[in-house]
Amino acid sequence: MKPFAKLPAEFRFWTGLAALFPYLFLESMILRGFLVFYFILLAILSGKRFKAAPNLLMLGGIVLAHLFIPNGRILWEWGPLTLTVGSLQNGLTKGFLVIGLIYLSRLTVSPQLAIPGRAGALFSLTFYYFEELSGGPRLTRTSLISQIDKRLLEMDAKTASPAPRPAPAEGGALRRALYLSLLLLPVWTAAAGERLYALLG
Amino acid sequence: MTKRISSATETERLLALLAALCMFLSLIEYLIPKPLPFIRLGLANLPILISLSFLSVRESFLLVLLKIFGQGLVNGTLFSYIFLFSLGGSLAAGFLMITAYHALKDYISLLGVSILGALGNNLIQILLARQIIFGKAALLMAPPFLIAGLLTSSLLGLFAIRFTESSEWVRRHQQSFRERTG
Repeated sequence: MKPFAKLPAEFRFWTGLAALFPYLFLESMILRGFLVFYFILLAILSGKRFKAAPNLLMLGGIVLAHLFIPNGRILWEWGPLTLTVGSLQNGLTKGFLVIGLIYLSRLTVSPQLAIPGRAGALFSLTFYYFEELSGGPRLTRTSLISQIDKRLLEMDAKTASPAPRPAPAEGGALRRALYLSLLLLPVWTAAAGERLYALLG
Repeated sequence: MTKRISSATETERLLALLAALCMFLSLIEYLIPKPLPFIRLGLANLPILISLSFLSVRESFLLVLLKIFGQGLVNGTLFSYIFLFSLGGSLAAGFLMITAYHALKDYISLLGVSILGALGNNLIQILLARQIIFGKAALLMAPPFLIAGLLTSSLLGLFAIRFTESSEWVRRHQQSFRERTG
């Protein structure tokens, strides 16, 4: 089920941008962590791929790096590694920020995004060639140079073919409104809540 | 918004094809099993290396930018730290490779150019990692990261030399460049 897979690229772009800034300035580890899972869920509903292992590896690496900078109450010590509450929190907060931005960015940006002017035309042409190169037969390790060479020569010969049009976007007003509220409400609520808590706290 | 290939200039077609090849090779790289997950082969830099002999300085820089933003758009990482690292590393690598090739053409091969590019890329990324994500711990990761970069860039440089010597496509474009620039 991918209800948001075919929303227009420009709509996604502006919606994502509106979610980006409040997320960037969130400080709470718990709020960031919650939003990471939320963005991943929205990304899956938008047809994006998700693999747990690379993300867990990335999070683990960032947390591990922060453990080398002890901060606060000591939880556990082993050789040069000192697990402290502060370093664990800092690592997780930073890790959630990095992963959250990846999935928010994937929700926001796509190759179908129309960029104006000459730059836009150049990107369109680039994506056309990328699709042509990716769509060809799989490269094998034997004679790799001649395979790449042959493919480049074939691409050079494609001077008369028109660049393909991007796939038509779908999504009526209701679907767009649903996506808008699902993406922006939690992020802005979290950001506003955090500010309010800081002011009253 | 899409443009017919036939109405694009030859240089635009060439840059678009090279940038697409960067993105295609980047895709291929993910499929190659690596001993450690953070080691990158840098295959996406091959088109930049092989095109140094038939692109002007301005065109090479444009290719670097197309590669950076194209990957950011395709992978959807334009607003993430991954893009920032890619931007910083690729600009540093591109600057060093293009400058080294054009300034020291008679004294340096694509092997040397590739190594310089990797060094620039990795140093900038270590700096960014230190400032943004890992703090001082980034310096602990620097030695294996730099050594891995040295090894992979050497392999890439040797591959680029073999490619430019064997490729009919490269030969045609070198010839075209010589005719264009007299």
